[in-house]
Amino acid sequence: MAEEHGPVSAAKVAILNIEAIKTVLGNRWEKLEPLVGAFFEAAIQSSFKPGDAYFKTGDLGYIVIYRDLSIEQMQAKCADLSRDVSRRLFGEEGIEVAVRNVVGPIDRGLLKAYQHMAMAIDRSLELHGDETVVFASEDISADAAATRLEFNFTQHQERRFHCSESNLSFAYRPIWDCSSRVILTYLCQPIPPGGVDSAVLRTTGFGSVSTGDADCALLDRTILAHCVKRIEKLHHDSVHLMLGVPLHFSTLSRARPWGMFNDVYRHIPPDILREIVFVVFGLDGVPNNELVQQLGKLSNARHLFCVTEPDNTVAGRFADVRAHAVGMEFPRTHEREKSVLDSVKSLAGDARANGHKSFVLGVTNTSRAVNAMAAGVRYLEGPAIHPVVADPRCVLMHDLEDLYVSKTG
Amino acid sequence: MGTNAKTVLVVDDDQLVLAMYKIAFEDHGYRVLLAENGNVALKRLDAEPVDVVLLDVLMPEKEGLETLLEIRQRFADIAVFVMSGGGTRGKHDFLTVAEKFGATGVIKKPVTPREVIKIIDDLPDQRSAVSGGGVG
Repeated sequence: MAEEHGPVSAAKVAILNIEAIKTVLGNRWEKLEPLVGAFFEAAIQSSFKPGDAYFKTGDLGYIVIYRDLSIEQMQAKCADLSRDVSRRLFGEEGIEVAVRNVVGPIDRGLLKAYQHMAMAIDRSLELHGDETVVFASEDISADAAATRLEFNFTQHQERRFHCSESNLSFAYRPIWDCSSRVILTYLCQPIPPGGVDSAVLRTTGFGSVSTGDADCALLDRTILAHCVKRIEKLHHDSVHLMLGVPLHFSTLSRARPWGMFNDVYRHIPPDILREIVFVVFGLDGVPNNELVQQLGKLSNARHLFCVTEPDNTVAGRFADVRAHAVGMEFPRTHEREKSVLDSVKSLAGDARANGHKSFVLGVTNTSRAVNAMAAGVRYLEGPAIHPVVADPRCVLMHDLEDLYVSKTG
Repeated sequence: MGTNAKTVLVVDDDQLVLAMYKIAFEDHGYRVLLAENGNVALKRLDAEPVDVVLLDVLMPEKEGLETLLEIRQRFADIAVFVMSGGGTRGKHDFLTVAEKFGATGVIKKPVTPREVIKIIDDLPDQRSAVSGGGVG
């Protein structure tokens, strides 16, 4: 917002004051003030889209800037925030946070300084957690703080390995429709030669196999051909269920890989295609119009699932895409779990707003499962939902209580 | 605090909720223990006697229903109340499953600390029952 030309429209700015909360808490305020502040700021941030910002003023005030909302939308958001705060603190909705709208221009230099400082602090917290040091001295500018932290950032390298067409085998990851309480889709998982450790099989959809675009297209085509044959065999046995076919976006977007893939795709009979769900990976950073164009090549398939990164669930990215569901894969580790669960909540809300269902892959414990279900996620997959199967043969009824079968003895 | 004061373990990942319940319950005379997820709750239960557990469902690491099952297997006599907003978006009835899993009672959020105190106060006192309280 600070980089745009021209003044920021003042109609987007709200001043919030939590004096009413302090009054109600009375002599408990001193003990609870740090927690109330942290909670309130988290609640403000959870209402944000990219480009929104807030500043604290004094002990009880907050200036909140919503970049793309009308004044009515901003008022509605602030009213929701007030109700949420009151409910969480007091178990009822009666305590109101005071809200005022500001009329007047906002200084762009001030916005830029706070933006840099907020980014620097976020980066430091990500790297150093509780050891983060925040410089409050007026002698250190926000720009300098951001620069100092920049060089500490390290890249995480994912494991990669190759596979060839001739020696792949396959397993199937059941996808649970928790609204209909049924498993009728199985996501095909390629297994490279030499097998793969169970952790990778459980939690990696696709990204750990193969590297270059040509390799990816070859792998995608191999999996598709395999799934087509598998569905034909099931039909022969009068079994109807859906197979999920993982697919790299690069296979769609590059001419030669698409040609390789389309050699199989365009020959698939309609009754087979009707039982294929494409699960597309590698979508992050792709502009919306390219998403629409390339994913449109799969318009004849039964369903399209779009996989996005946990921290990149930007609202509206898939708004124009004719996808059935938008989702993410849980990270393998459980670090920053609360943040990941918040991402799931955000993703489910964004998907719903755009008319999509949502899904999560790699559910490794019941905590991830119930939190995703509470957020409104429709499809769940992972070892905590149902183990991987070698040969899917039937639709399974599956209920919330089934997640606990191994724990009830 | 009286000799019959209950010990209540509150299990919720929301630090503000924990702080609010601690203040309200201690004002009422309960002894209060806190835990931010099921794993911590089970450690508290291993370490000292507890009369009542208030258990939220949605928590990271170890959620409420799984924790309830484990409490029932290991601490059969403790009163456990499971609290949930009911999965506001997903329409999943976690509280019905909690009842099936052996919760003493279920509490639908939002709820005030005062309402929860009334529920706990209405419980029969397990310790006086066991020791034959009231014997003259």
